[in-house]
Amino acid sequence: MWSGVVCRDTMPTDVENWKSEVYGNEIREHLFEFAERGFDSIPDDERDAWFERFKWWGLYHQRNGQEGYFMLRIGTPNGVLEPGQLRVVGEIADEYARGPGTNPIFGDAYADFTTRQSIQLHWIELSDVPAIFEKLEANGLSAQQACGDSWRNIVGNPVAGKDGQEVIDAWPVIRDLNETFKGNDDHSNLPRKWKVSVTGSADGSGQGDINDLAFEPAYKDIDGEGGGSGEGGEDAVGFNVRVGGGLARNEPRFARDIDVWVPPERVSDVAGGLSALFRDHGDREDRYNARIKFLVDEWGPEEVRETLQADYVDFELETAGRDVREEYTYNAGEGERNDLIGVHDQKDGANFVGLNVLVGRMGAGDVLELADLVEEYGSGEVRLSQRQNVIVTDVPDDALDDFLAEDLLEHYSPEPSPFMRGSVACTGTEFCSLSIVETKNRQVRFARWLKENAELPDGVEEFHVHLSGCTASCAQPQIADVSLRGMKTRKDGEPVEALDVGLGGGLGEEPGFARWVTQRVPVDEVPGAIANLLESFADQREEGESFRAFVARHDDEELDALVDPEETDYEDPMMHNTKRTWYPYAEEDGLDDAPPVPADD
Amino acid sequence: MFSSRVVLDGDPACAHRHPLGRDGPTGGVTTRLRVLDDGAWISVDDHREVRVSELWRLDEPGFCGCDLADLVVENFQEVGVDGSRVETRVYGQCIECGETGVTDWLPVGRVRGGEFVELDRSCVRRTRRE
Repeated sequence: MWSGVVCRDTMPTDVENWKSEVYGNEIREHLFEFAERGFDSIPDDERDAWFERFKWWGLYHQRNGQEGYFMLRIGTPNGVLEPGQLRVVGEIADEYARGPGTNPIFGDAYADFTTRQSIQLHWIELSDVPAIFEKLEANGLSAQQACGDSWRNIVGNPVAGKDGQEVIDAWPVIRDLNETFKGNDDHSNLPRKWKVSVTGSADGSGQGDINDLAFEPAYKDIDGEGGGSGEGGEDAVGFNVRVGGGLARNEPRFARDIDVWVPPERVSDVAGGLSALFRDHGDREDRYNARIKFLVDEWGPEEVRETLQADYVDFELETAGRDVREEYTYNAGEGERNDLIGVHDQKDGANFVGLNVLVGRMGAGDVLELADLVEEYGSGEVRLSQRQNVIVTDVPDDALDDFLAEDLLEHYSPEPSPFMRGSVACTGTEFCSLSIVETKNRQVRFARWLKENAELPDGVEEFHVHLSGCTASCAQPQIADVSLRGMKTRKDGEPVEALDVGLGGGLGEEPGFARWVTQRVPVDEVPGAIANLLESFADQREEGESFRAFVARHDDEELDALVDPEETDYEDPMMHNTKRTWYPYAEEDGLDDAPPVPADD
Repeated sequence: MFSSRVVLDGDPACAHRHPLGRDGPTGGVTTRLRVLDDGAWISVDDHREVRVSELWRLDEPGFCGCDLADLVVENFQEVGVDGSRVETRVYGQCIECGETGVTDWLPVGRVRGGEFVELDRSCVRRTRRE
């Protein structure tokens, strides 16, 4: 018989202990050994440690009931897929991303484009990892540091270098950062993930505000040589620096201005200095408190700057320059270019075409068909946005009409319904341990129902609905017009999946998080709630008023009344606890029906 | 605290050792308790046993004003043991009143004969009173 309370505090955490034993580049050798010897060769009592370490190489073990299957995340810096790489992704998805579960909407092999401009494949078997890595790396792709406590995939304006609206081309800077900090042993074991955004455009499409570290375009009068105002002068163009943004864990923060401007050639020094500062001062005893946003809370931006200057860079930091935040429109809830869907001018005279990928998921066959089209009509390159969409670049004017007439673009449209266009969803209980509810298929059902049954007022072209399965906020719910977050409630006495409803979030010059105005709406009443809300918005809005502005001038109680949940003809087949299944869409879905670990062949 | 564990025998990281009364491979018994997957699971002896997103009935007046809180379990904060009783502190929300927060230590199951048995999910959970 045990007695007493035993060892509730363990410092450092299990994860830190595991990392101190094996982490970073050296994991690969072990990973390949396990792949060679088979999944069962991982000792039972070491599995959690190895699964934690495998994340560093982009592999997440899928949730309970899916034993032996992994999610593979491929990090594509700035979302850039160079010519030929989309085809490689499609071929890998087609050959390896097939498992025992078939999704009723998306089939049995698909790629997910994520809110951090990466790609996720599911049902990957360990024994296939060496062959997949070989194919990725032979084609300039990698899963290294796609997950884990290190530099994650660097994000930014996906059309960097091509965008007619850009202030500075951030793509060479991002490439340099990627080459410097991927596989860099000095930065491979951080207290927690490290998310970096580098944006050169004036639209704010790098979403720097919600990253651990953000570089945003700014002008600086160096040594009094510039024009000062930037109008007709010769101010240097570089980046202002913000630190400590992030959305997870009911603790959302926008990145804080640390009053630093940096020229492009010194971004790597400042980024490395801040990464090292986080490595040395971040909290390794409590993973809930580990992200740098909490260190910035504790220290304040001034102390971050002072410590960076004193201990981590060997040159005098410039104070912040003149930013262009007043021009930000991306995900801002109003103005032009809330996303990058549609046909846009490149600065070289060609066009980029943003295609809507509903909830970011594309079947492997469609990926391969798109790869054919981009080679035929463009340069073969595509780019991924933080709204889970695909952008085809380098389409010349004389090829544009033929490209737009292709059948595939009926499904992945450059002119979608606002409800399709505005939909973002995370992985959800289909594969994720943390999620409370089913998400991707549900958001597809929501979008289709809203398209048929709801209307936006005249002049409102975009309406963003983000569905996240839990507070980890992978779908970035706090920065949408309508934010949906997984919950549970009881309906007729029975536990059912539910969603909290938040309103009025967005980025832009003055970013704001959604206000959670209505709690725990049973999922089958959510479409009706959104339709009722839109009806009230249409009736009560002031002329030309955006949804975000409409929300801003109402208090929470008024907004709660406008949400008005209602059963409609929308039917939700996933009201039950999808966590208690091995796969929510399986005919025999109970955990006892889970498939065996895949055979090593 | 993100991840705590109880090691009943054989782990140098733990200062306290409490044999369960069953011989293990090293002559004692080691029961590993961990919070895994960013707080989504409690693992007992390397098996994920208790998941988030369930509804728990709580008799814990300190958490919210409800006579009986109806808590959505969102995140396990830490796991420990008191006697044979495995306990956890969870972040969650009462769906009756909307209160959010971290609970006191609540039972999730027991280890009997070296095996973990989860509490019936419909039971009312109470913090152990001294």
